[in-house]
Amino acid sequence: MGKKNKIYLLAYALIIFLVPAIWKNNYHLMVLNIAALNIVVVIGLNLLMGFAGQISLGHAAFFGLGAYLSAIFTATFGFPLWPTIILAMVITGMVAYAIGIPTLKLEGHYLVMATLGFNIIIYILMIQLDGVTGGPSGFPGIPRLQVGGFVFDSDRKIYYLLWTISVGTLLLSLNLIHSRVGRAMAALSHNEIAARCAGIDTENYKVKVFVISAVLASLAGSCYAHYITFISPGTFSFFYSIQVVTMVLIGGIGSLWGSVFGAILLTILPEILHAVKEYNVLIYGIILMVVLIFFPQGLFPVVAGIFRKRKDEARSGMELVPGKGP
Amino acid sequence: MLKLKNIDAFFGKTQVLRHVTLHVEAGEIVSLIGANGSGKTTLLNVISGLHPSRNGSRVFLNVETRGMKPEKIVALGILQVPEAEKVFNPLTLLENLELGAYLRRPDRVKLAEEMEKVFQLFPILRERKDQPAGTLSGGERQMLALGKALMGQPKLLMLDEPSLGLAPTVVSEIFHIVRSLNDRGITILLVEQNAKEALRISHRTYVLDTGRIVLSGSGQELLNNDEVKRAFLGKDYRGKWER
Repeated sequence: MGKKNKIYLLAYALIIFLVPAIWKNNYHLMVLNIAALNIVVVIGLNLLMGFAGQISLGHAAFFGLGAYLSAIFTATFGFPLWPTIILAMVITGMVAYAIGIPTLKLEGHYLVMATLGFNIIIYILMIQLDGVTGGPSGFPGIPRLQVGGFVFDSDRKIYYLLWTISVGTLLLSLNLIHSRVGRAMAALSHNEIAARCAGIDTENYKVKVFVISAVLASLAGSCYAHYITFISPGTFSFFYSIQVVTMVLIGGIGSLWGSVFGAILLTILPEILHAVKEYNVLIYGIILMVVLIFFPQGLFPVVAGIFRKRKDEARSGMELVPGKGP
Repeated sequence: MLKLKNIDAFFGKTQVLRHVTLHVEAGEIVSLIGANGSGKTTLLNVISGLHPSRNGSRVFLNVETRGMKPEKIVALGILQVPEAEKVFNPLTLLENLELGAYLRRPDRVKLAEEMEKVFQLFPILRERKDQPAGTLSGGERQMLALGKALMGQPKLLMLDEPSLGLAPTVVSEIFHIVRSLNDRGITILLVEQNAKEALRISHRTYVLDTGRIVLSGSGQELLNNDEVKRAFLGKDYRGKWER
């Protein structure tokens, strides 16, 4: 995945793991924990949007499926924790496959409509099936995450676990997009006809990416449920789907580092805007509008561009290293 | 090598190809000329599996390709260079070439050797190998598209309007390259608006009109055919500006 990305990733991981040592406020750590989970969802969604050229408005549903499946299997039926999380990912993946197969074979953006409908259906089911899901009042008493005998029962303890999952997701996704498969994905999102002429099975790729994307959302959902230990349908409404799409857009479509940036920024921003009380929604909206109008490529490329420009100036005149692909 | 028999194709209810029968023999350059909307591109898309055909048969190297997905057909050795957007603009030239060999999965060393061959054929591409393909000029893009297709080691190379939108000097260069590829043993099926050049370099030509093959013959025969002259080359096809 290139030397540069490895260095960035290492620096990023280092900063992440130093934060709790400096930061003493547990509430802030909780916000960052939520950001870690959002990053997982947003990276998954960006793989779909940036590399398969499709949009999903149902990622809240996949997030919710992960959360509720985890909750029901562990709390109600007493299944073991980690296998359940994997089971939830498998089930969510199969559901995504069933949605993806018919819709992604069609040309155009039918996936948006299908996932939008799916999200609404799942939301209604969460409320109506109150015997299983607890209905509108939610599902309490979900067991906490644990490894061996060690229970992650504080924001600080679980911080390391959630961020390990989050950084791991980024690492695997970076590897994916810098592989032969990743290039094929980039090709198909740019120009499907030419991709098919090169022998890339575009339908198959689109479905696979969609499934991966849903599975990542499910993983984040399961972690969320076992972290907060209480879930209610409101968290998994259509609004969250919009939110993660916005995070992708703000960070920049097709840029995984952008997704990290977008997810962290938009998770923290509402907390900062608490300071302005009743105006916070207004300001949040204005910020989104300004970014999308003036930086349609997302904010991250702009920020990264400032650094790159300086470096390029320093490097100009130097010979490019021959024979080195990315 | 390639035998099409009684191919029909539709866009919705509109029939765009009617009982098309043609054949391409190994080592040939066969061109397909016809007015806009006569079905040339659709015919290529049918052959490469991008567009479904009805009835008839499509046999390539004794394999019936009807109903096969495009990637299967590419694996058999038919490669199409589409007319518009033939390269992947955001990717670098190297990445584009690498994607050309997508299905064959050559190892690093092999890949570098094959790229070297492409660079020898198109030296201009070497200078820009780390640039995104979107920064290339029209002619360079066409060369990259050809190079990308060559990375797939095609048995039959189908070119859709390779001269479209290019400057006259570049056009003759492209045709020169097409011919030299043919000399290396690649069979070529060429779709062209530039009928004169197409007739000149091809061994045989088919004329397509509203989805039907109305004429076929050697390039020389068609160059002297009155109907072809009138329809494609102008009445006195050496225009005044050329004399």
